Amino acid sequence: MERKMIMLKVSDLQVYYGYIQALFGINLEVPKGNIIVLLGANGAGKSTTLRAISGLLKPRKGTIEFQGQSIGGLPPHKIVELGIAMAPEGRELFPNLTVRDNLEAGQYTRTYKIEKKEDWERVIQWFPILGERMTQLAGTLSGGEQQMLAISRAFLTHPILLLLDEPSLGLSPLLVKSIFQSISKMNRETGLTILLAEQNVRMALSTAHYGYVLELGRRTLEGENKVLLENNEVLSSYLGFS
Amino acid sequence: MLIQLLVSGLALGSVYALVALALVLIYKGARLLNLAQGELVTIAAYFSLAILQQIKLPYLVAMIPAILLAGVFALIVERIVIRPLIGSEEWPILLATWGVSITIRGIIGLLWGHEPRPLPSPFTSQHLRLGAYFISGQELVIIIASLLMLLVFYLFFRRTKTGLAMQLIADNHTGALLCGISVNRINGITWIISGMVAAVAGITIGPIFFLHVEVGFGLLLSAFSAAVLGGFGSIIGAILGGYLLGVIQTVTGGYMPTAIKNSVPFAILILVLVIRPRGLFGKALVEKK
Repeated sequence: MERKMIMLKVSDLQVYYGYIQALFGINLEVPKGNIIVLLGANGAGKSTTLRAISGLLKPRKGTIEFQGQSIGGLPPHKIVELGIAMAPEGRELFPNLTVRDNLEAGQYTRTYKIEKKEDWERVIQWFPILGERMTQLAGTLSGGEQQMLAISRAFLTHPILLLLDEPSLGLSPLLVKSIFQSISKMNRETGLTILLAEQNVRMALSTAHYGYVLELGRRTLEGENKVLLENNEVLSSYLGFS
Repeated sequence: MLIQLLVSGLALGSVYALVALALVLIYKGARLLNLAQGELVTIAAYFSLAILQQIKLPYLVAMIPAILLAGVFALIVERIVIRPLIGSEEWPILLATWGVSITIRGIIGLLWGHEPRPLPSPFTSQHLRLGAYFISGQELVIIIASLLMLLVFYLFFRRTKTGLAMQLIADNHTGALLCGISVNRINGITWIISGMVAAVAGITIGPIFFLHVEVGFGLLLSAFSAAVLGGFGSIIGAILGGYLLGVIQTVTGGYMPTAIKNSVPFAILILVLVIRPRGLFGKALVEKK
């Protein structure tokens, strides 16, 4: 990991909701081309960290460096422009617009026709069901299809770093498996760097290269996927094993 | 009699529809209730009065610069008052728009005085004869100008990239941010458009009402009821709610004592809130935090 280029570096990140502190100094590094996972229970600060990186929340203290450039506090559209996209918790789709409109929204800022077409074809190849649902309203899709649409929409902004907030939330085990397979494929086929937040520890660690464990707004553990999988503390905290 | 009332109702309804549309656009785009929307109507009417008096353009031609001025004026309000408040709570922003409303009324009073003034239009004295009925020329102007404005707005909303961004912001604010849309830029454009939409209402209704400082505020209250009737937050709902309210109000006024007429919007507001709070086209509201 030392020799790889660090794409994203978060140092001492502190975020507040009003007067309530949610993050107490998070540090993490995302090397280029890797899948990195943030693990932790509800309220651990996974979503808050991702939302701060994507610009939806402003950090109170600390720095977020993306490819050597400080991006903490930039507005979300600038961050998208720099190459970070997010499929957020709750998906935040356009429920009253069709699947096609939602996908086109992802390409709102894109101008290169050839690249747009390539990205579009990739998405349909990863998630063929979306191709069949093009004219359906996004709000009427099943949970799994909505998640695929959220991931696809984020990918269509043509990011170099993709943030995924709990892609497995509320999905059946079979769907979770298929979503994670697609995430792996996206990483393998395009070299896309992915930072994902998850509660599904086994699935996340089997997909990711490296993981961080957050607890109540602090980082408590980090390590290679295999190391974390064998760590009893992780399993007992998040899977209820002892 | 009913046909004449219907036409008058449609004319009044056109004005409500425009103001309600302006209100809902800002509500959905910038997520705030603009209590100064009525004053954007009033000031546009005074702009056209100034243009008519100073440059002596024909009424219909004077509409165009007045509409553009109103758009610029709305943008200035957004930049000076609203933008610095973005990110704060809802109440300070609501109160700030109320402050804008009071300030504009004060400025109009200073510049044009507080006594009612006529906005001259050649169409007020003209009537179209339809069999046994007479239809006021100015009412036709209102109906046609509103329809044209709605058509222009529709084309802009559906056919341009900025219109698309407005739709995306209206459908899901966070989602639009994540697609790389600059909400600041679109907010400015949303204010310009709602200023221009409101302007058409003010300039066309002006010749029927006398112009005075409070004219827009009265319209705001009715337009608010219209938007609630249509389902607050629904663009189609605001437009249809406006037309419906105008017709109901005018027809009621035709068959009942006129004193009742002015309370119709409020009666409808209360009825909708009690019976069907989500209005005709609105979605059931789920609190999302």
